Amino acid sequence: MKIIRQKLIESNANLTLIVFSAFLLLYPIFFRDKGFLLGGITSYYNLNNGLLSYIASINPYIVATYLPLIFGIISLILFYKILSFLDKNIAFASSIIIAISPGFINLYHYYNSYFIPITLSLLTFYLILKTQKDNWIYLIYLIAIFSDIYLTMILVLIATIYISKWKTLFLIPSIGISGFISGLSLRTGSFSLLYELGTKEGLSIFILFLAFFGIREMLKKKYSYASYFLIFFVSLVGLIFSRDLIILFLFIVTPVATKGLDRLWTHNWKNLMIGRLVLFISVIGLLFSTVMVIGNLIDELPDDMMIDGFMNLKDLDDGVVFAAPNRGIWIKTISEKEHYFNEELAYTRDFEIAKKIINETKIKYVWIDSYGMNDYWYNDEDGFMFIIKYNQDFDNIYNNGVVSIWEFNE
Amino acid sequence: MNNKKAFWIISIIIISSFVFQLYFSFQTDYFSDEISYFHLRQIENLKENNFKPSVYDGLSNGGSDLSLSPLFYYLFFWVGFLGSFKEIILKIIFAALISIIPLFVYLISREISSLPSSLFVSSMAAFLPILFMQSLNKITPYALVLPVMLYLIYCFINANKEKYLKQFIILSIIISWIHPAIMILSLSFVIYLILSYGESVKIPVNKKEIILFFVMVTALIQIVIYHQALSSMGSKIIFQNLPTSLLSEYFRDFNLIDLIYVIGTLPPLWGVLGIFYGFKNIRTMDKNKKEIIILISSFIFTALLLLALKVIKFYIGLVFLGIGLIIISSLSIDKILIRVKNFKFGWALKYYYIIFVLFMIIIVFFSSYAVSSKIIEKTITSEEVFCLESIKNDWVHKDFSVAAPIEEGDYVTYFTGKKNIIDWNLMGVKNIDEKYNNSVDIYKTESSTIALNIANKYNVRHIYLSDSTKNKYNKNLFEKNERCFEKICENNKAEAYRIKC
Repeated sequence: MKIIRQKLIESNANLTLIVFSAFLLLYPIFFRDKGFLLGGITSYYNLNNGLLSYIASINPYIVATYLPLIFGIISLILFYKILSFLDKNIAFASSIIIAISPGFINLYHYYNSYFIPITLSLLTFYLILKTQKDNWIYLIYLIAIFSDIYLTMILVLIATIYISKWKTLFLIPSIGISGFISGLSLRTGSFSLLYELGTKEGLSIFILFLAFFGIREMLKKKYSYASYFLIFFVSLVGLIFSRDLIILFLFIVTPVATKGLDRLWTHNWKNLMIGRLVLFISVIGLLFSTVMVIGNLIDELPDDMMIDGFMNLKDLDDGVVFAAPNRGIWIKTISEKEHYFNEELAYTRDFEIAKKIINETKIKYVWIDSYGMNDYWYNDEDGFMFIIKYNQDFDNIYNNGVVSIWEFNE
Repeated sequence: MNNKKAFWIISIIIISSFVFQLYFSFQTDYFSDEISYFHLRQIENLKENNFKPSVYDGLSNGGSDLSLSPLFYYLFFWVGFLGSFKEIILKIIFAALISIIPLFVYLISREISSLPSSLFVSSMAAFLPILFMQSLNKITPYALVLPVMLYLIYCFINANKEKYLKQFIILSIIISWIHPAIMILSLSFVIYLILSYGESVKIPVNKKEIILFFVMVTALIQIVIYHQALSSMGSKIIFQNLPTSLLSEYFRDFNLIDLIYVIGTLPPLWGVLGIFYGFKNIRTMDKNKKEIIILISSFIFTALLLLALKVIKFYIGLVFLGIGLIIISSLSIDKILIRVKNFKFGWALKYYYIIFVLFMIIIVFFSSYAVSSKIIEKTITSEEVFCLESIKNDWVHKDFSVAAPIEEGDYVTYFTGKKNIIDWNLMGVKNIDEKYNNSVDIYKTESSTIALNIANKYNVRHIYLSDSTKNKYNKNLFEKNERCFEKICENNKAEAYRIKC
């Protein structure tokens, strides 16, 4: 009876997590209200480059939209299963917290080079825990196919530390490698860990707040958590080395943050009102970053007007398109045209200089959209815009209020 | 001295600070800095926008996004209905807010020192030169933030009482919506925890809980208000997107001479002595006093740290530092009074005290008087406003921008109702260095072509040239080229030109 009850609870938890993560990951896709489901630059970049472009070759837009989503649901279930092995009490809450974190949503929204490696590494850890066979560690090397060397290296290191159960033999090389990484990091500079400070894959500041209390709680039993602290330290040091490791760090920090939340929940508050307010603020803080990330994903460019412009550009004769650098990947992927940008051309008002560059680079079209215009020009008579507006060699062949396409006819 | 007497003395201190400020404020019809006019415009905009908060300002920086704490403007929305009286009412309100600071200084210092010392430091706070430098005849959120911050400290000290705890919770939520400077108190509380740990002073659990709440609520509200600016600028938001060439001016190196010049000699000297006495005797003090001394020291340390790291505007940092030092100096004044009492001529204490107060009045009052006179002297004049209004009334080019240096951008927008190239609302402005350099180059250049190119770039059709700008760049290209720059206003304080080319 007890086993059946246990199974029921577990299947309910699995179902809840599937529905919850599917809802969160589908929401920005369906509410984009755009002709194209894909937003941002990352997905378009990976549709053009590397192994991911081969995987998506069957149906690029469908694969790039839904494959990360499916992997997201799978990885959330794997994360839940892994935590169920390690600390059952926080498994479900941790999975919910990670599902609403901006890093997770961004990771499984875009067709990027990390969603497969992260899911694979979760699978590896799950298999090691489930079968109690350390040989599964070799699966991690598969990650190198999809990802960069740093992520693979750190994952191998973390897995080794975990398997070693804190043996001195593994401790020395781990510390050595971490030291090496920190030494190198001094030369690479720092970056923000926080989503609120503009790092798309970053952690919510409230996860860090809660993790602080979680770590305090864990320090009380520091020897039981020795492996965890080493993993935490290695990934933290690794972060300075490669900023993309922040995605991995999220999976390491979230269980600790959940422990912190649990600590605040069970704390014997001297003042109940303060206690309730602190918990309320923690939850609102976590949810605020979720709302922010979903809002940003919904509003992401390209929008309807831009897509219309790109489609029109696609129908035109072949030729090089002059446009702002961050429009390049869309012009290449959607309009299937070659893109070119040159600052000298953007800022010049001298037709002779402009003509020389245009002829050298065989520019045939100029793409201008009102969203990106202010990045280079203050008004429609500034720099190259002046030439386009007043020189008769440029014809305005398309204009939808947001996008205008000009053709150069000498 | 009894409490009734103290009440009357503190009332006299508050009233004299209030009268002192109004004496200077009413010497001019205008406010004493350009940012006041930015705030005034936002208050007036609320009425025009049907009380919806503005997220975009079409006039500031030629049109830019706004990242502002909205509550400050909502608190004064009613001023928009007062017509020509609004300036007078705002001058009175802001003078009153600043005048209240000595009361809170008194209340806090009273917790750690004797009545005479507390009254003495509150009178010093009432005439702190740096405070007037930053707030006299100005609309500034700091006039609200400072008193509330001090009262929050007082509530925190007395948080064992339900009444103060409730006030602390409510005020910390409200003040977080008014200005991000409240984060300074948040940081002070964190440093307070660290210092207490270092001094082995056990902080009661309820106070730790209050600190946790305060840190979290201020962080959450700032994230909600500034999420857009934060995500686009990251940690650089601290520098408020200031042009690189202005960074060193506003986030200056901290040095003692500057400190003495704007705070005076006595607060730093007595403040440092106060910290010394406080920490020297910390083991023998009662628990409550210990905590308060560490808390005030943390406040001072936070201001010093921010100044040293150059992450706070220099003079704003000095205001916080000055107030902290004044509060803690009550400890050293106490010490001095006890020493004098034990002198052979202890009977002369009364006379000593009177001489002491008179000495203080002479030093502090006169340095404040000098600072205040200077501020009023530098305030915009009716002649300057006349030239700005002539730009406003120049119907020929109604929708174009007006060129003015960054220091006068907000005057231009308020008095002409037209766009400026650049002002102090810099968050979210793209290519800020280029914009700032262009706004300077238009005055510095000797070439009409360069000036006209810049004017074309920003759709400028009027140039405002105040006396201070003329003196700063020592050039007037526009006067020499009458073909392209037509003078539409001239008086002994300012000039205005219309661009014809």
